[in-house]
Amino acid sequence: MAHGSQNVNSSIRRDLLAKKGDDQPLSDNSSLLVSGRLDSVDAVEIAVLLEETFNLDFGEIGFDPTMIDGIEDICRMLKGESQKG
Amino acid sequence: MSTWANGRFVICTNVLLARFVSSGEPPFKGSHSPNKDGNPNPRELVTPLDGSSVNTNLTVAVESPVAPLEGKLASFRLIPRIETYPKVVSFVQTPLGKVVLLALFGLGLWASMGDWLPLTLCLAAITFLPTKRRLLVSICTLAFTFLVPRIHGSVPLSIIATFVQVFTLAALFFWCAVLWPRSLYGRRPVVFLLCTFSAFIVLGTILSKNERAYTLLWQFLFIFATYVWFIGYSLLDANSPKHDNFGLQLGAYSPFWGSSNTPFPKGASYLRQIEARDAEQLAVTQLKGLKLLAWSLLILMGLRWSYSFFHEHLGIPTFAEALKLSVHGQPLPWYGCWGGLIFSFFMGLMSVSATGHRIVACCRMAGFNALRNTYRPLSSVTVAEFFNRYYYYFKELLVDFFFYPTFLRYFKKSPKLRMAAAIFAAACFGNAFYHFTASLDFVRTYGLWHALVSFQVYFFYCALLAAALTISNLRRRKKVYAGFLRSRLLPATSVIFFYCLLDVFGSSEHKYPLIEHFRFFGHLFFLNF
Repeated sequence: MAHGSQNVNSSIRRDLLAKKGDDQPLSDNSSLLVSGRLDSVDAVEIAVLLEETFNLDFGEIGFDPTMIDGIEDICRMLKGESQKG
Repeated sequence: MSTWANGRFVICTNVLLARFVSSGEPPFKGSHSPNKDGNPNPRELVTPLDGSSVNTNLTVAVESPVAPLEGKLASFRLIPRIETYPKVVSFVQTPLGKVVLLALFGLGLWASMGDWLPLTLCLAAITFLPTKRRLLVSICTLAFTFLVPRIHGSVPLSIIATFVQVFTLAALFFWCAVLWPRSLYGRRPVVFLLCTFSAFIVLGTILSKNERAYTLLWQFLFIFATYVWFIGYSLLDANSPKHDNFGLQLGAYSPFWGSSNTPFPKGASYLRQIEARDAEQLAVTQLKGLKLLAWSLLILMGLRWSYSFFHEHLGIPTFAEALKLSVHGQPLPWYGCWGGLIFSFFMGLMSVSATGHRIVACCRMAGFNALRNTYRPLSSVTVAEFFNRYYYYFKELLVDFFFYPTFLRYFKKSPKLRMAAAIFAAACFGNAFYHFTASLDFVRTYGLWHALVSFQVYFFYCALLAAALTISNLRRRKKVYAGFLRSRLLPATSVIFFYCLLDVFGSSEHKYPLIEHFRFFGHLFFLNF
């Protein structure tokens, strides 16, 4: 988990935020959607990607943007779904 | 996290990042929210005019040739960034500082609205008792529902009883969704809510006007209509494991800081996310609220001056006046039609901005770091971006209740059709449904069928808007031009031009048939038919 988080963190910092001139630290619990960093279309792109990668169906489990608001939220949501499954 | 998810999660996030990086898309909305860990948001820069924080995602200039120009503009601030001054932030955390801040805020409210005193008193209570914030929000909201209206005159008992009935129905909907989340109702509570609401409307148009039930039902419907989207947000929250109890949900039902039928700022779930976590965050949030109120007052002054100068002094008509003349066979010349259209467009923009800023300012003063409702719409370079920036919380309502459910359930094998269907569900059907059900007086007066016919122009407007948004979204990942003229000025002007033209069909008066709006549209381009 720690290794995964580091990879994600560094990728976001390097590829996403640095490109936008944002060189501040990024933690796993940083908000991406509620803060307005990404918009609703980006949110559904994340959802689609999670559906494709993890075989989820947000139409069934319900979708709330706060579920994927940050890396920590995504991890928590995936963990919850894996325990259910 | 389980091993199952761990490895795949890294892959997934890298793919995700690759998609965003390749897009080069400047997202839409300024952010004012702190990180969840309490750090100041790293994306907060400075807007050229009001000095409020800005999402760096918006500042396309970071990597474009216009950076020096925008940098110079950014150094100019009409309202200083007081929330970044450590001494000011520290002072506002002291009892004296809180009193001074509240006094200044109260003064601003006094200049911009009625009921400023009870609102300021509510904000004072929340400022001095931040640990009881959510409870106080509920109490203050109930006070503004039942007590504050009595300042202006007695409120009939039947009205109070109807409010109680609506809240009871809302509680019933909410508790059922919480108790049976896997039931047919629990999986689609919002669908049940909107169907119930629609069924009541149909029933209201069927009942005879002489019946006692008719009066009671319409009284209920008028109040239910003002709360239906607030109840909807409660139902969306009901499935969340961290949902608030119904008492706290009530605080977000047309909250005391103000709202339209559109919930500002969304529901209880959103309030949980944007609530200030400590004294410093509260101070920063409140200072931002004060700044936004000042900005609202400036826009309000500009609005009044513009109306007086352009309309009363120069004689530029409003769109409604120009349309009326066209309908009566005495159309204004083309420049008069354009003048009326552009004048009304900017008046509407300023009015929405001033009102939205004031409501969000009060919300921030209560300790919730809400995003602005209107955020630099004239800088939008796409139709979709303007829609995001013009009336954010209405857009969010359409997204939460119509866009997400459609997108996540239908046409999964066809990405473009999926996106188009979701946008039409939100911007066309959702938009039309919202406005039709918000005009219940019209429905009661003319009956269901005639009301639907009278809404033909607005339905057409919604369809046009949805089509434009679909095209805009499907094109959103295309090439970004370099240079201020091609990257900013021309696209922004085109977007404003489009929305001005669209406003010909966005009339909310529903007085004239579609052909009259087309006739006016023709006058804009020297066509008389």
